[in-house]
Amino acid sequence: MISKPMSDTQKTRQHWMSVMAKSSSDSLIKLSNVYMDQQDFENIRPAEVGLTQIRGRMGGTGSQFNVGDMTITRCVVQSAKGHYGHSYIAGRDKNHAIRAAQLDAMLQDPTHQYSIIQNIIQPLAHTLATQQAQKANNVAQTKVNFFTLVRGED
Amino acid sequence: MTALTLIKGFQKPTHDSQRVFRQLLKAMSEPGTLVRVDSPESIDSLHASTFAVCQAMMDQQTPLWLSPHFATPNIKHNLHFHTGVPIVEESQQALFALISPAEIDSVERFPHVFFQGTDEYPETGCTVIVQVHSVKDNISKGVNLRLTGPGIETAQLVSISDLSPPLLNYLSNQTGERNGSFPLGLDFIFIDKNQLVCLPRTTQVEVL
Repeated sequence: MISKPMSDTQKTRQHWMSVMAKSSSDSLIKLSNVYMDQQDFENIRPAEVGLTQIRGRMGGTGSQFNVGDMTITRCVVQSAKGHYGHSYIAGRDKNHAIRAAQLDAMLQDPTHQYSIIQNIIQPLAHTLATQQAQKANNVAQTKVNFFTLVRGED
Repeated sequence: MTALTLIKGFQKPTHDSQRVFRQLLKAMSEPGTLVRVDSPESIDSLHASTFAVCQAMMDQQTPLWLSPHFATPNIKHNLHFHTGVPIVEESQQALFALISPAEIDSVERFPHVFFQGTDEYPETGCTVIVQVHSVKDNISKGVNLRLTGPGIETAQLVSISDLSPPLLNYLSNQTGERNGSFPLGLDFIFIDKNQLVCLPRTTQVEVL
């Protein structure tokens, strides 16, 4: 299947969905509680837990292989204004999935978008980047390089 | 492109689908018994009740054929979204078919347009879901049927609206092919806005 290149709107949405999925449930819910007053959502697909198979490539570029199964929770809601919010998160935290779906719907609404990106998505993205950098730093300290000496006449 | 509408599915998917399954089991094993099924919302011409049956029965392994009346983008999208059911173009490949009674006249080669099972696996025959205007369990203005056979103590009377002569001839075995092909055959679910009645292939039908 040939996929079309993503539009900017899709890329932005992909970014906020990814940030909300990767962030911790507690911090997402704490940051977003103030936005949830007077918001009304319908459950199109109530949060449900399931399994998905994750696949990887050898060395990142080689042929595909199955890494294993992982638990995911997904949810779809519709806001009172008619926007559909989707979420897929790792693990079995239904509250995390519900809140991420609700925020995804609100983020598609221009009246909330700017403020939610400023107050929720950017701080969470910053935290994620810091954690990632710290982890990369910790791992880098124990990095070992392997050298192979060329032998023989070939 | 206009955006497709998604409707609410079962709000407690496990319990709701088990409840609908239990109702269908009762209706299938006691033909002529009316049972109620429900789901939160309907879409286009698909009743909420029919959508409930679809959610309870269908998944990735039950190919579904939609008649032109039901083959709208919204219905396809919602059925696929909520159940993952593959929708097939070729009715012979379907385990479930969804059709309105008026269309049965125009379907060529009825009932052979649907898969009736094989001698080794007769249970793989198609289950045809017919969405009608009304089903009742007493004599009324629609077509009145007297049912006998397994699961019925003496006889059951049901009244189903909109049934056309070709379908009635088939159900009442006028042509001999319904009983002649047994154990192969089709099982029917007739469903209105709230309730349904089943006519499995073992039920003998007499048109009053």
